[in-house]
Amino acid sequence: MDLSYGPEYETFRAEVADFLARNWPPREGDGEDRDAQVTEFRRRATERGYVYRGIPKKYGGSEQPADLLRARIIGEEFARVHAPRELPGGGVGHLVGTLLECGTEWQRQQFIPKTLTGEYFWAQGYSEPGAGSDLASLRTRAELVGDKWVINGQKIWSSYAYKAQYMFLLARTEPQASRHRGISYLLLDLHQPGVEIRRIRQITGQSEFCEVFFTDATTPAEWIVGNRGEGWNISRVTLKHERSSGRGVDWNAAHFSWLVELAKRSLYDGRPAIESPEIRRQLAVIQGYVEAMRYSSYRQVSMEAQGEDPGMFRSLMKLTGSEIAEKIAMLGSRLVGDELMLLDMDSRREVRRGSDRWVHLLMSSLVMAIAGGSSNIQRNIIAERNLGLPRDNT
Amino acid sequence: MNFALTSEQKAMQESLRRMLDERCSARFLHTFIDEKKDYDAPLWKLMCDLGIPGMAIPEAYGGLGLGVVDLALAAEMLGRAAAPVPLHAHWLAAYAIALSSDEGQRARWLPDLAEGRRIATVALCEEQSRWMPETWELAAGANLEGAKLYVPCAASADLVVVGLAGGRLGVVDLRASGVTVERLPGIDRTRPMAHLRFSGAACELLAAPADAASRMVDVGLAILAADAFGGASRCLDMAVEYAKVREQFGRKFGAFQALRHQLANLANEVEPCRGLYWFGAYAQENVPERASHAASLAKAHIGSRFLEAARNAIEYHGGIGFTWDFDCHIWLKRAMLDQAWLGNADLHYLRAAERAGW
Repeated sequence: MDLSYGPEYETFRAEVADFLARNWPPREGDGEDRDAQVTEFRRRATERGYVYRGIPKKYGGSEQPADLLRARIIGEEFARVHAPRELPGGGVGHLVGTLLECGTEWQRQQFIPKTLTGEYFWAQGYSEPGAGSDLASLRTRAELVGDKWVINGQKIWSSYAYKAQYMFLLARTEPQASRHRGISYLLLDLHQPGVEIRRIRQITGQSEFCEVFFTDATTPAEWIVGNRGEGWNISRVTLKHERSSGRGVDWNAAHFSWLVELAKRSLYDGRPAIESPEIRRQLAVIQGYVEAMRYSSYRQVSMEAQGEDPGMFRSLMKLTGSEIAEKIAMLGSRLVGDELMLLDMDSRREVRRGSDRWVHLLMSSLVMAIAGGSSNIQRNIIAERNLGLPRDNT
Repeated sequence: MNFALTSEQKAMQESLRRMLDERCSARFLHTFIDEKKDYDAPLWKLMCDLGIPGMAIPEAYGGLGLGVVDLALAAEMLGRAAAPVPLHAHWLAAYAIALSSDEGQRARWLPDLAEGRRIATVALCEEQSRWMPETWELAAGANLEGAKLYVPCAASADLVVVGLAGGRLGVVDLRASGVTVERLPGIDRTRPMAHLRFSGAACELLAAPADAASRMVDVGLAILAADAFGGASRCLDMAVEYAKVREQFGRKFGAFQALRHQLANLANEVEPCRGLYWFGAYAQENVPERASHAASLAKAHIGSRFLEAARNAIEYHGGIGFTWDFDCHIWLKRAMLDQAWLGNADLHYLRAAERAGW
């Protein structure tokens, strides 16, 4: 057991820190447009091998050997200065890894490089109004007519579909086959007459999520990933390279430190909240959870780096992280006092400061417990896979 | 960075687990708690054969020369098995004596403690939950006058390390005159306790550094956190096993989603504690500036999780869980002691807050 990284890794950390000191935040002369600045920063970070590490150079990645400790150091250093890492969203998060595993060579060349730079922005088309946690019951249909798939149906919760150019989606192509075997994984250009996109207003006032309607929308026959009927399994492929990124730990640690700052500048019973035994105790309770998750994730990374099975914690991480986020948000909502009643929900600002952050977080932290497999789905997975309990067969 | 166990550490935990599964079964524990003994002598003998009492004592004095992480890993196994052996306090007493700068003191006591020929304990608490060294008031001197409370295994131990005013430490022979042992009706019969009254008892002050007492207490907190993790994971296992065999309404318990989710939640509260107690122990010898914070946070957090887990496990079992003859209550009572001994969660959350620099 040794929590120091040793000279080789500390040298690496210093290199990363030095790169960040010179490149983030953007300087004058890096251009005015924030998006362009981030794109340029990401290009430099790719060149240095700090992002897109598991993606071959010929597709625009940095093709670095898997090294969980380097990945962890990059994560920590980038988080420390709030520098952007890989482009967020399902394109990089899901599609690229899926194409690397299951796509054809032309699909990889066609889609991966421009997805990494953000030129191609993807929406995900999985959930439907009647198929959420029970995704395999999805009903959007695709029929092969000549050299085209003709698609009819509806998708929902597609983040940022309104500004996406493409979608990767699951559609039922083999209606006779059993639930899971009748699904295929298709790619689709959203800019066509058969596609209608409606933004959904969320409880925060923002509209990231969209509904997408298909009325005889089409996509070329060869824009299928893998074979017909294999879509269910293909949608479960993820890039295994350095997959223990510890991002949930970084998120919670950052928000916890902001919570302590909030307690220092908030009043409670007429005194700084940080001096109140009640608030100090509540902060320490949350810190217990944050630190438990941190060191369990260090343990997990260390064991996986040695090819060992860390056991149950891998399955717990999403649930653990969501519950910590809730605790942080709930204490934050107490500390902002009367301002909990205020939020400009028509604002389009993304970065939120002051009490706004905490009012917003009380709502937005719910996303962690809902998206990407809700907490109740996580509990089912833990019960079945880790505790070995029988399935619910009613 | 490598936050994982060595093969020796894994082997040590595994051999302790196997030995305790065999020699410290639930059936054995039920007999033990009804006999109201201080500790189980045959189990203590087995521990001595493995060198467990002297795990952290330097090899020069016959110990194994291991560290606080190793103590904590062993403590996890003891907590899991609810082993009725007075190791926690014995380890702490030995830890304090090993900090003495006086070779004569170390050589006089440590070899016997390493081999387990003599059992040592620690006397820390004073009235009103004064567990921490800075709150001790018992006057230091060659003869002690006063009381110490909640001393583990005091009726059977041979010597005791006593916390004194100013954070000093002294060693008292429990068989000498001037010491009265008042046995207590302890809730956790696997770890009985007594109050000590001193009236002129001879005391030898340890030639230990000024921070020896707080270091010993921090190590104690880390060990209790590990014990609590072992106990909490045993509670989870008991509930999961019950869910696999108990049937109602024609189905196994575990097939009811409401009950599966309760167990998943329990796992989510318990399992992440492993990393927390590892760091609590690791910090003692490797990150001294965070040792007190890590120890208090681990004790408060895991002690609380254990108490919840033990109560939930009993509720999960229903009526059978509430019976004396069923196993669950043994761990509930371990959890009650782990919560209170060395100071409860309120004390340690606030101590952690202070040590965090807030």
